[in-house]
Amino acid sequence: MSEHHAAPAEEPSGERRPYGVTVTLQPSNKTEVLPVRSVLQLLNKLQIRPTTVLVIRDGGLLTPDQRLNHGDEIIVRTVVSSG
Amino acid sequence: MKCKRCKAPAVVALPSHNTGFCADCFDIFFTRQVERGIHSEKLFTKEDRILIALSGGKDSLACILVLKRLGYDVTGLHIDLSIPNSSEQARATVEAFCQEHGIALIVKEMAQEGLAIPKVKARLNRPICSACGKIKRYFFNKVALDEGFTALATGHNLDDEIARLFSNVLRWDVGYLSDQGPMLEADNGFARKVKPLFRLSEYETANWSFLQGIPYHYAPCPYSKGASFTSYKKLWADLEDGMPGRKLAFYLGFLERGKVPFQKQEELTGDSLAPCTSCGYPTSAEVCGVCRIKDAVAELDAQD
Repeated sequence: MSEHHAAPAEEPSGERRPYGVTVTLQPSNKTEVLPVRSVLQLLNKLQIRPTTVLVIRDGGLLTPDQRLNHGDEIIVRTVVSSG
Repeated sequence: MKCKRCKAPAVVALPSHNTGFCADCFDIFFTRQVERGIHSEKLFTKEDRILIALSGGKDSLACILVLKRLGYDVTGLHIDLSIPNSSEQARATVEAFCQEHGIALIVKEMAQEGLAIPKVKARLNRPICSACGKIKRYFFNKVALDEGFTALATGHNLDDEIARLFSNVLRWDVGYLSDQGPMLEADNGFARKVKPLFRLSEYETANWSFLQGIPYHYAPCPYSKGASFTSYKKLWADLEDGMPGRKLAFYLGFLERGKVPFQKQEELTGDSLAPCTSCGYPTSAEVCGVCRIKDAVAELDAQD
Protein backbone atom coordinates (compact mmCIF):
# COMPACT_ATOMS: atom_id res chain seq x y z
CA MET A 1 0.00 0.00 0.00
CA SER A 2 1.36 3.43 -0.83
CA GLU A 3 2.19 5.82 2.03
CA HIS A 4 0.44 8.94 0.77
CA HIS A 5 -0.61 11.51 3.33
CA ALA A 6 -4.36 11.75 3.77
CA ALA A 7 -4.34 15.47 4.64
CA PRO A 8 -5.48 17.96 2.01
CA ALA A 9 -2.60 19.17 -0.17
CA GLU A 10 -1.37 22.73 -0.09
CA GLU A 11 -1.39 24.65 -3.37
CA PRO A 12 1.57 26.95 -4.27
CA SER A 13 -0.73 29.86 -3.40
CA GLY A 14 -1.03 28.52 0.15
CA GLU A 15 -4.68 27.50 -0.28
CA ARG A 16 -5.68 23.98 0.72
CA ARG A 17 -7.49 21.86 -1.87
CA PRO A 18 -10.41 19.83 -0.51
CA TYR A 19 -9.73 16.11 0.04
CA GLY A 20 -10.35 14.11 -3.10
CA VAL A 21 -9.53 10.94 -5.04
CA THR A 22 -9.57 11.17 -8.85
CA VAL A 23 -11.47 8.26 -10.34
CA THR A 24 -11.48 7.26 -14.02
CA LEU A 25 -14.15 4.81 -15.09
CA GLN A 26 -13.29 2.44 -17.96
CA PRO A 27 -14.29 1.83 -20.65
CA SER A 28 -16.26 5.13 -20.67
CA ASN A 29 -13.17 7.14 -19.55
CA LYS A 30 -15.36 9.46 -17.45
CA THR A 31 -13.43 11.10 -14.62
CA GLU A 32 -14.63 12.49 -11.30
CA VAL A 33 -13.15 13.53 -7.96
CA LEU A 34 -14.71 11.84 -4.93
CA PRO A 35 -14.23 12.36 -1.16
CA VAL A 36 -13.72 8.66 -0.35
CA ARG A 37 -11.18 7.03 1.97
CA SER A 38 -11.31 3.35 1.02
CA VAL A 39 -11.92 1.20 -2.06
CA LEU A 40 -15.15 -0.10 -0.53
CA GLN A 41 -16.38 3.46 0.09
CA LEU A 42 -15.51 4.34 -3.48
CA LEU A 43 -17.43 1.39 -4.91
CA ASN A 44 -20.41 2.06 -2.64
CA LYS A 45 -20.43 5.69 -3.77
CA LEU A 46 -20.42 4.56 -7.40
CA GLN A 47 -22.94 1.79 -6.61
CA ILE A 48 -20.68 -0.87 -8.14
CA ARG A 49 -20.32 -4.48 -6.95
CA PRO A 50 -16.68 -5.22 -5.98
CA THR A 51 -16.59 -8.37 -8.15
CA THR A 52 -17.59 -6.53 -11.33
CA VAL A 53 -14.58 -4.20 -11.62
CA LEU A 54 -10.82 -4.02 -11.28
CA VAL A 55 -9.66 -1.18 -9.05
CA ILE A 56 -6.21 -0.01 -10.12
CA ARG A 57 -3.74 2.43 -8.48
CA ASP A 58 -0.20 3.05 -9.76
CA GLY A 59 -0.43 -0.01 -12.01
CA GLY A 60 -1.42 -2.37 -9.16
CA LEU A 61 -4.70 -3.95 -8.06
CA LEU A 62 -6.50 -2.93 -4.87
CA THR A 63 -8.78 -5.09 -2.70
CA PRO A 64 -11.94 -3.48 -1.23
CA ASP A 65 -10.45 -3.12 2.26
CA GLN A 66 -7.56 -0.89 1.12
CA ARG A 67 -7.31 2.78 2.10
CA LEU A 68 -7.30 5.58 -0.42
CA ASN A 69 -5.45 8.85 0.06
CA HIS A 70 -5.80 12.41 -1.05
CA GLY A 71 -4.55 12.86 -4.60
CA ASP A 72 -4.75 9.15 -5.51
CA GLU A 73 -5.54 8.47 -9.14
CA ILE A 74 -7.72 5.40 -9.40
CA ILE A 75 -8.95 3.47 -12.43
CA VAL A 76 -12.19 1.50 -12.06
CA ARG A 77 -12.38 -0.87 -15.02
CA THR A 78 -15.44 -2.98 -15.64
CA VAL A 79 -14.78 -6.70 -16.16
CA VAL A 80 -18.13 -7.48 -17.77
CA SER A 81 -17.77 -7.97 -21.50
CA SER A 82 -20.78 -7.10 -23.62
CA GLY A 83 -22.71 -9.40 -25.86
CA MET B 1 -6.43 -8.53 3.53
CA LYS B 2 -3.76 -11.24 3.45
CA CYS B 3 -3.12 -13.98 0.91
CA LYS B 4 -4.67 -17.26 2.04
CA ARG B 5 -1.62 -19.28 0.98
CA CYS B 6 1.46 -17.20 1.84
CA LYS B 7 0.06 -14.39 4.08
CA ALA B 8 1.58 -11.62 1.89
CA PRO B 9 -0.77 -8.66 1.14
CA ALA B 10 -3.62 -9.85 -1.10
CA VAL B 11 -4.29 -8.13 -4.42
CA VAL B 12 -7.37 -10.14 -5.40
CA ALA B 13 -10.35 -10.70 -3.08
CA LEU B 14 -12.61 -13.65 -3.97
CA PRO B 15 -15.88 -13.58 -2.02
CA SER B 16 -17.13 -16.69 -3.88
CA HIS B 17 -14.27 -18.68 -2.33
CA ASN B 18 -14.27 -16.59 0.87
CA THR B 19 -10.60 -15.81 0.36
CA GLY B 20 -7.92 -13.56 -1.18
CA PHE B 21 -4.58 -14.09 -2.91
CA CYS B 22 -1.34 -12.28 -3.72
CA ALA B 23 -0.37 -12.16 -7.41
CA ASP B 24 1.79 -15.33 -7.40
CA CYS B 25 -0.68 -17.43 -5.41
CA PHE B 26 -3.61 -16.20 -7.52
CA ASP B 27 -1.73 -17.44 -10.60
CA ILE B 28 -1.48 -20.88 -8.95
CA PHE B 29 -5.19 -20.79 -8.02
CA PHE B 30 -6.23 -19.75 -11.54
CA THR B 31 -4.05 -22.31 -13.30
CA ARG B 32 -5.27 -25.12 -11.02
CA GLN B 33 -8.90 -24.20 -11.70
CA VAL B 34 -8.23 -24.47 -15.46
CA GLU B 35 -6.45 -27.83 -15.05
CA ARG B 36 -9.25 -29.13 -12.82
CA GLY B 37 -11.83 -28.16 -15.45
CA ILE B 38 -9.85 -29.80 -18.28
CA HIS B 39 -9.39 -33.06 -16.37
CA SER B 40 -12.85 -33.30 -14.74
CA GLU B 41 -14.69 -32.82 -18.05
CA LYS B 42 -12.02 -34.59 -20.18
CA LEU B 43 -11.83 -31.58 -22.50
CA PHE B 44 -8.60 -32.52 -24.33
CA THR B 45 -5.11 -33.92 -23.84
CA LYS B 46 -1.57 -32.89 -24.75
CA GLU B 47 -1.99 -34.91 -27.98
CA ASP B 48 -4.78 -32.64 -29.27
CA ARG B 49 -4.24 -29.77 -31.72
CA ILE B 50 -6.32 -26.97 -30.21
CA LEU B 51 -7.60 -24.00 -32.19
CA ILE B 52 -8.56 -21.10 -29.89
CA ALA B 53 -10.89 -18.34 -31.03
CA LEU B 54 -9.29 -15.00 -30.11
CA SER B 55 -11.50 -11.90 -30.04
CA GLY B 56 -8.84 -9.74 -28.39
CA GLY B 57 -10.74 -9.65 -25.10
CA LYS B 58 -9.33 -10.78 -21.77
CA ASP B 59 -10.99 -14.19 -21.73
CA SER B 60 -9.74 -15.54 -25.04
CA LEU B 61 -6.20 -14.18 -24.54
CA ALA B 62 -6.08 -15.57 -21.00
CA CYS B 63 -7.34 -18.90 -22.32
CA ILE B 64 -4.63 -19.31 -24.93
CA LEU B 65 -1.85 -18.08 -22.61
CA VAL B 66 -2.73 -20.40 -19.73
CA LEU B 67 -3.04 -23.40 -22.07
CA LYS B 68 0.29 -22.60 -23.74
CA ARG B 69 1.99 -22.37 -20.34
CA LEU B 70 0.45 -25.73 -19.41
CA GLY B 71 2.13 -27.24 -22.48
CA TYR B 72 -0.86 -27.71 -24.80
CA ASP B 73 -0.56 -27.45 -28.61
CA VAL B 74 -2.42 -24.20 -29.32
CA THR B 75 -3.08 -21.99 -32.37
CA GLY B 76 -5.09 -18.76 -32.34
CA LEU B 77 -7.90 -17.85 -34.74
CA HIS B 78 -9.05 -14.24 -35.08
CA ILE B 79 -12.15 -13.30 -37.05
CA ASP B 80 -11.80 -9.74 -38.40
CA LEU B 81 -15.39 -8.47 -38.46
CA SER B 82 -14.62 -5.16 -40.27
CA ILE B 83 -16.56 -3.07 -37.72
CA PRO B 84 -15.36 0.58 -37.81
CA ASN B 85 -13.59 1.86 -34.66
CA SER B 86 -13.47 -1.62 -33.20
CA SER B 87 -12.19 -4.46 -35.41
CA GLU B 88 -8.91 -2.80 -36.31
CA GLN B 89 -7.93 -2.33 -32.65
CA ALA B 90 -9.06 -5.84 -31.69
CA ARG B 91 -7.02 -7.39 -34.51
CA ALA B 92 -3.94 -5.34 -33.63
CA THR B 93 -4.22 -6.48 -29.99
CA VAL B 94 -4.43 -10.15 -31.02
CA GLU B 95 -1.58 -9.92 -33.53
CA ALA B 96 0.75 -8.17 -31.06
CA PHE B 97 -0.15 -10.63 -28.30
CA CYS B 98 0.50 -13.71 -30.44
CA GLN B 99 3.78 -12.30 -31.70
CA GLU B 100 4.93 -11.51 -28.16
CA HIS B 101 4.12 -15.01 -26.90
CA GLY B 102 5.22 -16.96 -30.00
CA ILE B 103 1.71 -18.25 -30.72
CA ALA B 104 0.68 -19.25 -34.26
CA LEU B 105 -2.27 -17.17 -35.48
CA ILE B 106 -4.80 -17.55 -38.29
CA VAL B 107 -6.77 -14.42 -39.27
CA LYS B 108 -10.00 -14.74 -41.22
CA GLU B 109 -11.33 -11.51 -42.75
CA MET B 110 -15.10 -11.29 -43.05
CA ALA B 111 -14.85 -8.57 -45.72
CA GLN B 112 -13.04 -11.13 -47.92
CA GLU B 113 -15.90 -13.60 -47.34
CA GLY B 114 -18.58 -11.07 -48.36
CA LEU B 115 -19.70 -10.86 -44.73
CA ALA B 116 -18.38 -7.54 -43.36
CA ILE B 117 -20.58 -7.03 -40.29
CA PRO B 118 -21.67 -3.42 -41.11
CA LYS B 119 -23.03 -4.72 -44.43
CA VAL B 120 -24.76 -7.63 -42.69
CA LYS B 121 -26.27 -5.15 -40.21
CA ALA B 122 -27.54 -2.94 -43.04
CA ARG B 123 -29.19 -5.92 -44.72
CA LEU B 124 -30.83 -7.67 -41.76
CA ASN B 125 -34.12 -6.69 -40.13
CA ARG B 126 -33.16 -8.33 -36.81
CA PRO B 127 -30.53 -7.70 -34.09
CA ILE B 128 -27.01 -8.03 -35.45
CA CYS B 129 -25.56 -9.86 -32.41
CA SER B 130 -27.19 -13.21 -33.20
CA ALA B 131 -26.15 -13.05 -36.88
CA CYS B 132 -22.60 -12.00 -35.95
CA GLY B 133 -22.39 -14.87 -33.45
CA LYS B 134 -23.66 -17.30 -36.09
CA ILE B 135 -21.06 -16.11 -38.61
CA LYS B 136 -18.21 -16.37 -36.07
CA ARG B 137 -19.23 -19.89 -34.98
CA TYR B 138 -19.45 -20.93 -38.64
CA PHE B 139 -15.89 -19.83 -39.37
CA PHE B 140 -14.50 -21.18 -36.08
CA ASN B 141 -15.88 -24.56 -37.08
CA LYS B 142 -14.85 -24.33 -40.72
CA VAL B 143 -11.24 -23.37 -39.97
CA ALA B 144 -10.98 -26.07 -37.26
CA LEU B 145 -12.17 -28.78 -39.66
CA ASP B 146 -10.35 -27.49 -42.77
CA GLU B 147 -7.03 -27.19 -40.91
CA GLY B 148 -7.27 -30.51 -39.06
CA PHE B 149 -7.58 -29.27 -35.46
CA THR B 150 -8.97 -31.82 -32.98
CA ALA B 151 -10.53 -29.29 -30.59
CA LEU B 152 -11.98 -25.81 -30.93
CA ALA B 153 -11.69 -23.74 -27.75
CA THR B 154 -13.34 -20.49 -26.77
CA GLY B 155 -12.64 -18.25 -23.79
CA HIS B 156 -16.18 -18.50 -22.38
CA ASN B 157 -16.03 -18.09 -18.61
CA LEU B 158 -18.44 -19.06 -15.85
CA ASP B 159 -20.44 -15.82 -16.21
CA ASP B 160 -20.88 -16.37 -19.96
CA GLU B 161 -22.04 -19.92 -19.31
CA ILE B 162 -24.42 -18.86 -16.53
CA ALA B 163 -25.92 -16.08 -18.68
CA ARG B 164 -26.46 -18.53 -21.52
CA LEU B 165 -27.86 -21.26 -19.27
CA PHE B 166 -30.20 -18.75 -17.62
CA SER B 167 -31.40 -17.50 -21.00
CA ASN B 168 -31.99 -21.07 -22.19
CA VAL B 169 -33.89 -21.92 -19.01
CA LEU B 170 -36.09 -18.81 -19.31
CA ARG B 171 -37.12 -20.07 -22.77
CA TRP B 172 -37.01 -23.79 -21.77
CA ASP B 173 -35.04 -24.28 -24.98
CA VAL B 174 -34.60 -28.04 -25.03
CA GLY B 175 -32.20 -28.02 -27.98
CA TYR B 176 -29.78 -25.55 -26.40
CA LEU B 177 -30.11 -27.06 -22.91
CA SER B 178 -29.28 -30.49 -24.32
CA ASP B 179 -25.85 -29.46 -25.57
CA GLN B 180 -24.78 -26.68 -23.20
CA GLY B 181 -21.62 -27.43 -21.28
CA PRO B 182 -17.84 -27.11 -21.34
CA MET B 183 -17.44 -29.90 -23.92
CA LEU B 184 -19.40 -30.81 -27.02
CA GLU B 185 -18.04 -33.84 -28.87
CA ALA B 186 -17.24 -33.66 -32.60
CA ASP B 187 -20.30 -34.78 -34.51
CA ASN B 188 -21.67 -34.78 -38.02
CA GLY B 189 -19.73 -31.84 -39.49
CA PHE B 190 -19.02 -30.09 -36.18
CA ALA B 191 -15.58 -29.87 -34.55
CA ARG B 192 -15.24 -30.77 -30.85
CA LYS B 193 -15.93 -27.59 -28.87
CA VAL B 194 -14.39 -26.90 -25.46
CA LYS B 195 -14.49 -24.09 -22.88
CA PRO B 196 -11.43 -24.44 -20.63
CA LEU B 197 -12.27 -21.37 -18.47
CA PHE B 198 -15.74 -22.58 -17.46
CA ARG B 199 -14.86 -22.78 -13.75
CA LEU B 200 -13.56 -19.19 -13.60
CA SER B 201 -15.63 -16.04 -13.33
CA GLU B 202 -15.21 -13.00 -15.53
CA TYR B 203 -13.80 -11.18 -12.48
CA GLU B 204 -11.20 -13.90 -11.85
CA THR B 205 -10.16 -13.95 -15.51
CA ALA B 206 -9.91 -10.15 -15.62
CA ASN B 207 -7.71 -10.12 -12.52
CA TRP B 208 -5.45 -12.86 -13.92
CA SER B 209 -5.17 -11.10 -17.29
CA PHE B 210 -4.25 -7.84 -15.58
CA LEU B 211 -1.63 -9.52 -13.35
CA GLN B 212 -0.08 -11.32 -16.35
CA GLY B 213 0.19 -7.99 -18.17
CA ILE B 214 -2.12 -9.03 -20.99
CA PRO B 215 -2.97 -5.79 -22.87
CA TYR B 216 -6.49 -6.85 -23.75
CA HIS B 217 -9.01 -4.99 -25.88
CA TYR B 218 -11.69 -3.95 -23.35
CA ALA B 219 -13.79 -1.48 -25.34
CA PRO B 220 -17.26 -2.94 -25.90
CA CYS B 221 -18.48 -3.75 -29.39
CA PRO B 222 -20.27 -0.61 -30.70
CA TYR B 223 -23.14 -2.82 -31.93
CA SER B 224 -23.75 -4.81 -28.72
CA LYS B 225 -25.56 -2.16 -26.64
CA GLY B 226 -28.46 -3.66 -24.72
CA ALA B 227 -27.49 -7.29 -25.37
CA SER B 228 -29.67 -9.47 -23.16
CA PHE B 229 -26.77 -11.57 -21.85
CA THR B 230 -25.28 -8.39 -20.34
CA SER B 231 -28.54 -7.84 -18.41
CA TYR B 232 -28.49 -11.43 -17.16
CA LYS B 233 -24.89 -11.00 -16.00
CA LYS B 234 -25.90 -7.97 -13.93
CA LEU B 235 -28.77 -9.90 -12.42
CA TRP B 236 -26.47 -12.79 -11.51
CA ALA B 237 -23.87 -10.40 -10.07
CA ASP B 238 -26.55 -9.24 -7.61
CA LEU B 239 -27.44 -12.84 -6.76
CA GLU B 240 -23.81 -13.87 -6.32
CA ASP B 241 -23.19 -10.87 -4.09
CA GLY B 242 -25.88 -12.08 -1.68
CA MET B 243 -25.02 -15.75 -2.05
CA PRO B 244 -21.30 -16.18 -2.87
CA GLY B 245 -20.57 -19.38 -4.79
CA ARG B 246 -24.11 -19.71 -6.17
CA LYS B 247 -23.04 -19.30 -9.83
CA LEU B 248 -20.61 -22.21 -9.87
CA ALA B 249 -23.02 -24.40 -7.88
CA PHE B 250 -25.88 -23.64 -10.33
CA TYR B 251 -23.72 -24.47 -13.35
CA LEU B 252 -22.09 -27.62 -11.96
CA GLY B 253 -25.50 -28.79 -10.69
CA PHE B 254 -26.91 -28.42 -14.20
CA LEU B 255 -24.06 -30.45 -15.70
CA GLU B 256 -24.45 -33.17 -13.10
CA ARG B 257 -28.23 -33.43 -12.75
CA GLY B 258 -30.01 -31.13 -15.18
CA LYS B 259 -28.56 -31.79 -18.61
CA VAL B 260 -29.29 -35.48 -19.24
CA PRO B 261 -33.11 -35.21 -19.33
CA PHE B 262 -32.81 -32.47 -21.96
CA GLN B 263 -30.44 -34.62 -24.03
CA LYS B 264 -32.96 -37.49 -23.93
CA GLN B 265 -35.79 -35.18 -24.92
CA GLU B 266 -33.77 -33.68 -27.77
CA GLU B 267 -32.98 -37.15 -29.14
CA LEU B 268 -36.74 -37.74 -29.41
CA THR B 269 -37.95 -34.39 -30.70
CA GLY B 270 -34.91 -32.42 -32.00
CA ASP B 271 -34.36 -31.33 -35.59
CA SER B 272 -32.18 -33.61 -37.68
CA LEU B 273 -29.27 -31.93 -39.44
CA ALA B 274 -28.10 -32.34 -43.03
CA PRO B 275 -25.26 -30.67 -44.96
CA CYS B 276 -26.07 -27.22 -46.41
CA THR B 277 -26.59 -27.63 -50.17
CA SER B 278 -24.38 -24.61 -50.78
CA CYS B 279 -21.41 -25.06 -48.39
CA GLY B 280 -21.85 -28.39 -46.60
CA TYR B 281 -22.21 -26.93 -43.07
CA PRO B 282 -24.68 -28.88 -40.91
CA THR B 283 -28.12 -27.25 -40.95
CA SER B 284 -31.77 -28.06 -40.28
CA ALA B 285 -32.74 -26.07 -43.41
CA GLU B 286 -31.72 -26.72 -46.99
CA VAL B 287 -29.33 -23.75 -47.07
CA CYS B 288 -27.53 -22.80 -43.81
CA GLY B 289 -28.04 -19.46 -42.04
CA VAL B 290 -24.62 -18.08 -43.01
CA CYS B 291 -25.10 -18.83 -46.72
CA ARG B 292 -28.49 -17.12 -46.54
CA ILE B 293 -26.90 -14.04 -44.93
CA LYS B 294 -24.13 -14.05 -47.54
CA ASP B 295 -26.71 -14.18 -50.34
CA ALA B 296 -28.67 -11.32 -48.77
CA VAL B 297 -25.52 -9.13 -48.51
CA ALA B 298 -24.55 -9.95 -52.13
CA GLU B 299 -28.04 -8.91 -53.22
CA LEU B 300 -27.58 -5.54 -51.44
CA ASP B 301 -24.16 -5.09 -53.07
CA ALA B 302 -25.69 -5.78 -56.50
CA GLN B 303 -28.28 -3.01 -55.92
CA ASP B 304 -25.54 -0.43 -55.08
